[in-house]
Amino acid sequence: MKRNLKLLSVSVLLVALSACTTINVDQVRLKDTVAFKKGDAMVVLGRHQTAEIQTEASLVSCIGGRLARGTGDVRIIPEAEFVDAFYPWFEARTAPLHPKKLRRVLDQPQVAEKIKELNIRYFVWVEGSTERTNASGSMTCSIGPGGGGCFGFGTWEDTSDYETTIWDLDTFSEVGRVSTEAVGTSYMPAFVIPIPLLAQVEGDACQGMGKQLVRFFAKDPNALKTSP
Amino acid sequence: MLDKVDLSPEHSRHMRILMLLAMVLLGGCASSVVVKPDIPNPLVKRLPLNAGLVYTDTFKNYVYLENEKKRGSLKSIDFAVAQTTMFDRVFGALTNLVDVDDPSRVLSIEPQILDFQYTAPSETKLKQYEIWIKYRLKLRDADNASVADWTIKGYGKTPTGLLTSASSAFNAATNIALRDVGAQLSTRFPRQRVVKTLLDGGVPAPIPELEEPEADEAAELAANGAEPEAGIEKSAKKSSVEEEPKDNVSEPKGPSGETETETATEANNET
Repeated sequence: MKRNLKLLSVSVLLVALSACTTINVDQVRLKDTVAFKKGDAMVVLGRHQTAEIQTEASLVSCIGGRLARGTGDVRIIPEAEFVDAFYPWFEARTAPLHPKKLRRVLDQPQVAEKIKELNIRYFVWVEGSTERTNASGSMTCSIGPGGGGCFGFGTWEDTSDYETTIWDLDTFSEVGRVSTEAVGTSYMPAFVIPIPLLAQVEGDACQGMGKQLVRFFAKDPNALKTSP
Repeated sequence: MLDKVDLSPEHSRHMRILMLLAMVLLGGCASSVVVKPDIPNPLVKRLPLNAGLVYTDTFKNYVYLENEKKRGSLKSIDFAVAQTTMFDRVFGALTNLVDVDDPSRVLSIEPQILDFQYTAPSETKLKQYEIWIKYRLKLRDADNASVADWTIKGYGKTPTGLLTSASSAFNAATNIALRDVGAQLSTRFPRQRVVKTLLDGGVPAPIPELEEPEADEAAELAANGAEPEAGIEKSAKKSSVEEEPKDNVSEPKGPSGETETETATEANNET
């Protein structure tokens, strides 16, 4: 009983001390309605066109998962599966940067046929990254015959900056944009054992962006029904 | 000697700690990587062209060996199977692959590896592994006369985030670099003048057989991943440039300081 109480106290303390993230989500809708037919599919892809722009696969997959859960009628094709199936047209070097370029890619009969076969209606491009923007503090760890431990305090700030662009394949045009900026500070106090209090910046950015994208694709954007 | 070791509980504990430290240190040792090919079949239109692929023994058995002792992240990387798989798949999708001795063959393609370079997080302080691969492609007509000489580069990088080891990171980065080469070939090959001439039923103009690296130099290149000789670079620079749409990728310079974007243009060239 005493042990459970201790565990509970530690959990409560950790939750109380947990790092927090500030998220700012903006949306631009360039078309009033985004229609889906039953069986339509959508693909969420990350941008990798330069050495600096390397959108994390984990974030792309996370957004895809949120869209799949939030928009029940639409099938989400995983990025890796799509890129492999359409090799070499959506590699870092060859992926179209504008809807008009996508039309040129679809001039390839094999590509057009496969897009049709998979019923792909929308492309969601995710561009951006999460980076460490600030870090301070110090920690010393030592190990000896009698045991080991760490002492000190560290803190760091991570910033996520992402923009998603939505292309409609029916009109070969951009129909909307959702941008997200998330900033989170993590802490790591250490008294013998380091206790990481991590801000899930990328995860929180995914949650914010995913929610907004689900709202974007909802038939009635005001009646949002989505999992958190 | 072992008999003299004092194995008291205190020493035994010390030994265990030392062994643990040794294991941790060994975990960061240089790795020998054999790249497993991960190249999809290209979704391209097959051209009515009978072509043969020529792989030399050097190419088929290429292994990059790291001789610089300061570079501790890689001992060797064997991507011979991965690169032949890539060329097989790309040209198998683009052309009707036939035997080189087949009388219906109108073109032969001989890839040659010119350079291989890499960087690891321990060298760049970036959380990623990077690979650069440079190939030369020699094209010959049915009479074995040289008709084109191209160079092409591939670039691949993998973040450390989701990778469990240096070995898996090198494997992934090499596959991305090979995919890059394959993507460039798949999208540009049909637009090359030599290919267009052959498709129109014409005979491509022969070009002078360009200088090849000396046998010893080639072997050294294969063994050390050394910089390509000036003569090889000249072969590409002699080419006349055919205008092509530009790529998305603006790559960083390789570790040797060579600009990667130059290569993207070279790949469009045709002599």
